Amino acid sequence: MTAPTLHLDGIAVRLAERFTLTVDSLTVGPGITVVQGANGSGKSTLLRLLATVVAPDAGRITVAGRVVADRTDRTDRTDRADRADAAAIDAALLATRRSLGYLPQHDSVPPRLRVFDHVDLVAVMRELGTDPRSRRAMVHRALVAVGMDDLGAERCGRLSGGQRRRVALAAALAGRPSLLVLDEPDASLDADQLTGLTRALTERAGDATIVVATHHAAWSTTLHPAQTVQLHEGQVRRAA
Amino acid sequence: MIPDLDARLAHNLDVVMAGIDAPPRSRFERLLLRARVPEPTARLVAATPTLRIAWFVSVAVVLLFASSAGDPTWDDAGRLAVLLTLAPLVPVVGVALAYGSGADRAHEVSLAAPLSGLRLVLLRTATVLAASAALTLLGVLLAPSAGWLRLAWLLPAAATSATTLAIGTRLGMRTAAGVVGTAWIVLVVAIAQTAGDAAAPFRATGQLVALAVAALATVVLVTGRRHLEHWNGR
Repeated sequence: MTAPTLHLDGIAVRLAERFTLTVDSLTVGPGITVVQGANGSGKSTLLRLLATVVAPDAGRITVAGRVVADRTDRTDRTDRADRADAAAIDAALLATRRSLGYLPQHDSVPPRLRVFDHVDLVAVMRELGTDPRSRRAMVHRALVAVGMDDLGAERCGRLSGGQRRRVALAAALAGRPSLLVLDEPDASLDADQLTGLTRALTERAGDATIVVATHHAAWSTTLHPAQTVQLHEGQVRRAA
Repeated sequence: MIPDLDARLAHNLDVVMAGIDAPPRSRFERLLLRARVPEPTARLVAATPTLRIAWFVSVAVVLLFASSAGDPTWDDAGRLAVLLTLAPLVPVVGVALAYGSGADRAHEVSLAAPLSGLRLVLLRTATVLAASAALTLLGVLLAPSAGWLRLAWLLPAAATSATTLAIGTRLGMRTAAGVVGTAWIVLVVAIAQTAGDAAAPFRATGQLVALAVAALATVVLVTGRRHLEHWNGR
């Protein structure tokens, strides 16, 4: 799998009466892209957009050259062309999700499930592995990558916040996806865990497109990002 | 050749270590596997959020009370009506607690995954329906006898569940469950009052209407499945 490039053009996402995320033009290529901004600046909305969770109200998104969302005004279209476009978008969306690992901002680990079972459940949803044995081997590798393999049988509800974060991260990393969208992966992690996370991400940056939202400016520089996107009140201030 | 061999050895080691690290599967999941349910499906079904002891106990208590509710002077059909009214609400509540951001912390992760949203919601609904049906059947055994009416909750339960799913794809499962639950109770009370017969909503005409509603809701659900598959994380 090659690392995909994402293009966002003329994007608007209206989530509340007073908040709209607008992205005139943004390209996210292979390597690590860091997204920064104050609380409420639209970081999570941008990441949910890139993770195909929230649809844009306007604009177009392409992943690896294929359109996955198109809300541009096209008055010249016929119904037949629209249906053909819809089928192509469905296929592109599915292909994108097959190559995607996503860590949401909120705690996404159900407390009643065991660590291994949760990561394995997400692996099933992500259709990883050709058979259960290879899928479970991927789960084991992901748990090793975040240092949680020795707690595989523990219930998630009994873990600390940092440990639950690492479990959710393992679910995103499993199967070495070529597109990783990570919303505040550094939240609740101590210094050692942060070092481990940095190592895990930089090691994958060579063959993946990784988008990381963080408040932690000092830590983000250790990722050696290819690009840093600054958001302010729902607008991209700077992409450098 | 040697890098290939290394990779295979590493993979085999991961398979062995995964077998050691992984906790044993739950009894329910093992039961599904024994019943020849495909392994990924068994995993998805066993993780249904509603499948908790507390859920089963609360449903069993409600149905137990419902099965013995009503005035002793009422006839058997009238006393059974309380259970028949509540039973179709059990899967509605179960569906609301089985799918969606309020019910499942991993919901947003599932939205970003290639697994079909329709498949996941149908699997979980089928699980909830089966569990609800088993509990309701037990409740019915304790209820006063009234012939075939004792099973007259089945089609209404299918109708309320399918309608919840059809509306839920657009409004969210919890809102849909609230709408359907309220509408169901208002409808049952209104028909019973009008007919002067507490069991009137569950007799032949009511069953036919329930069947039609279930079929229509299923069509709406399937035609509107894009709402479950695409960008629905708001």
